[in-house]
Amino acid sequence: MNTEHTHDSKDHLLEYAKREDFHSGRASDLSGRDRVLYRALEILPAVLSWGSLLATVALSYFAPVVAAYFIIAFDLYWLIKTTYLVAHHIHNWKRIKHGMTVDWGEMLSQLKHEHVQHLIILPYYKEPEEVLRASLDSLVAAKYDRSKLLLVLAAEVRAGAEQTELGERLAAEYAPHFAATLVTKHPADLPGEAAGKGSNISWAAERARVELLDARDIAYEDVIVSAFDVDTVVYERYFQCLAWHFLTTEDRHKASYQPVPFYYNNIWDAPAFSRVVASSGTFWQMIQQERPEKLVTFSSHGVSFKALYEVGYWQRNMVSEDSRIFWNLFVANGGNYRVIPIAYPISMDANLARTNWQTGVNIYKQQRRWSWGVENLPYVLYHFMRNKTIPLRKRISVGLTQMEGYWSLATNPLFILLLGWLPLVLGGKDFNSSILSYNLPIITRNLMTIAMAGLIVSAIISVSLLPQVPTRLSKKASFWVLRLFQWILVPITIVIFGAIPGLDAQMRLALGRYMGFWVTPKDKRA
Amino acid sequence: MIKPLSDLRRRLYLMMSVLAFIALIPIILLYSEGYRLGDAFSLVETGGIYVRSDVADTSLYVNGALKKETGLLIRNSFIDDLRPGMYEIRVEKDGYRSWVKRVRVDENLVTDVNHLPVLTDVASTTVRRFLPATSTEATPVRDPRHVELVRLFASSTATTTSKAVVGKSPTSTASTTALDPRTLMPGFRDHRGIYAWIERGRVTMTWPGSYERTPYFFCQGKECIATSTLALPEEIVAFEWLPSQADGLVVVTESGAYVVDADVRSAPNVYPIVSGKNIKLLIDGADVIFKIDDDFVVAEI
Repeated sequence: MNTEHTHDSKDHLLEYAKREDFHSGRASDLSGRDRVLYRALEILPAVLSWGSLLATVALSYFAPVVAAYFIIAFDLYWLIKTTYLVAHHIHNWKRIKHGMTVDWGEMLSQLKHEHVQHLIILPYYKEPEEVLRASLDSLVAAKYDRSKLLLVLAAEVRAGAEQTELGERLAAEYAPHFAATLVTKHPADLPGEAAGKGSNISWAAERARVELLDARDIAYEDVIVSAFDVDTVVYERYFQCLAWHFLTTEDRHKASYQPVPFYYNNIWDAPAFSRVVASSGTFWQMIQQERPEKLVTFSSHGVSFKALYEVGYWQRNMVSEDSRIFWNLFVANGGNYRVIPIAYPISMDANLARTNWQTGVNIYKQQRRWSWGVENLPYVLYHFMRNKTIPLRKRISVGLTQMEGYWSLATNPLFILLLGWLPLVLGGKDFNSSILSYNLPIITRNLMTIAMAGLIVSAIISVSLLPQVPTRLSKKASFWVLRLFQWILVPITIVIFGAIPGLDAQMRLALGRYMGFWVTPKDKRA
Repeated sequence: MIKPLSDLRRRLYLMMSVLAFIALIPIILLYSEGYRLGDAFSLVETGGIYVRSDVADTSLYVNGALKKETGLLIRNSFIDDLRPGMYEIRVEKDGYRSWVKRVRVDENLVTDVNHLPVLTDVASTTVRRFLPATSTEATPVRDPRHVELVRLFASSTATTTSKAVVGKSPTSTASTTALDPRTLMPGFRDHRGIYAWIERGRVTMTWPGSYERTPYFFCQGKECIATSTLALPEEIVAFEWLPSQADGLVVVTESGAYVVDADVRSAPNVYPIVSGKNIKLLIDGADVIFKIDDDFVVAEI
């Protein structure tokens, strides 16, 4: 299986992945009508979001009764949707709790698994040594045959010689715990690349192919790549669980493997609003685990090296490489590609800076970067129009699902929290004398209060999954009070750290102000 | 192994959600429009009453039955599920006089009313020309507060006359009011854009502004009138708007002074404050000042 292809060769790529526009990152990467189409699709998400927000404002002025009907219907939809999602959340919680007690080693021993190798790529930039060490220590503590673990520390040349030397020092120190270690040095400013994780790990994957896999004659189809964030801390049976899912999945190279991201590394040091935002992110990923048709790879994930190699690794010219790799694989495989939710956690850092204000700023920027995943929408829709081998029904269903996802992220919190009052403000005297205008805020409030029950369930789930509270905090009454009341912040955080960064990202995409990769600062302890 | 939610179960959840939405949305929309179940499962249209109040801890009665008790933070009350018709609203609060209003409720509409809170015992101070005599003083000593109040009344009369002549009001645009002959009417007052004056022993109130901003007491449902008139059994000789936010007037007749609702859609509440003849009236900040003969009564209402 091993080939002599160079980094630039296209022979190993799937047919569709050989297209010039396969790795298009933005409209300007294309030309002619393709460029116009792609540009229009970049504008589409902002048009949909702003259009519906402005339409509600206009409706509140010109047809307040219709606006009130819409808002009540939306509130009811939200309540029912919350109930629907909570059912998924609870089920995934049961699966995670169970998954953390399963002896995956025993499960794996019942399968032929000795041929499976794990290629762990840990990209880093200027993060402190302690962040890398925490991740490496967790890899060392993980239960797995050490002769099957290949470690790549992916350094950025632009970060300076000091960081590269750090990688080499750590690689040497931790080498006894792995079958092989490799430090890759991603050059700065390569043509066609954007600075960021995608270009770094793609470089690292190719170096690993040549220097580790080919050099050791390891078959690509036997390798599971774990593309981690630098702060990713694995739980001890992660690799066993991942390998088990890999081996038991039908058509295993047509799937990515998604763990559940917890943000527990520093959760007790983070301020309440950071904990709430981090938990909300985990909730969402837990829910998505039970809706695999909507699940897209996010942050740290696993994927077959063979699958990666067939599409030329992660895209190097854009920000959201973690989700884009799924879409690359999906369109290149004619829609025959999926994400397998493994319902097993990995842990990362919650946002934490030296001041609460800076933490808030960092959360906003991180959420905006995640919302920048909207750059995938034009890519997906563009290739759905181009690749007719994907069944039409799937293209329509997946396309609409993705559009609804980005639209609801940016608009729904605003619908819920702000627009309920608009008809009262703009509706005029006739509307304001109607019983509908008096009932509108009451019904909105009551429906949202019932929907809060879903939040309470989620809060209980969160508490049951959190690590033990450190002694230094458990004796502080203020900590427990804050911990109880932090959930009151959710209505605020979903607007400030959900809708607004979502709209911000969509506006940037629509205006062609493309975002670069923003590295979330990793201050372990403030 | 716990498996992921099966497609079958998820489809079931989805169908239940869709069915719940389809079943609930018409019920909620009809409810919000004021429809309620009547006899034999028929739908009846209802309306409501919204009572605003500036004071906390009131009890609200509708046709004699206690319906709501307000608290410190939420002082307004919304009463719904009312069939169209006339209702008697009564607001009670310890230390305050009963406030009673008969209001009409129309289907799918809400009738707005404002509670006019008046203390049972209005705090007042009488200021006489001379301080009470003492054994050490040979001649009576003039009360300095009396001197001040005399000056206040004198300057107030001048200002009022001047305002009536110039025809400008603090809350209206000069272009509108300067040409408006109503500003020349006796006792003309502009209260938050409402023009009021005395005409044939009654207080005439008119709203010169837009329909959209018409005060609630000029309207019944969506029908609003331009002018309303406050009449008492005796002729009104003077009036002022209450200094508080409540929509009430202090009026003076031949026999005394009263606090009265501005809302005359039904018989206004009339609360006697002081009695006497030839009472003159002045508002100074939060104080209502009555001049009765040579004395002054300063009241906080």
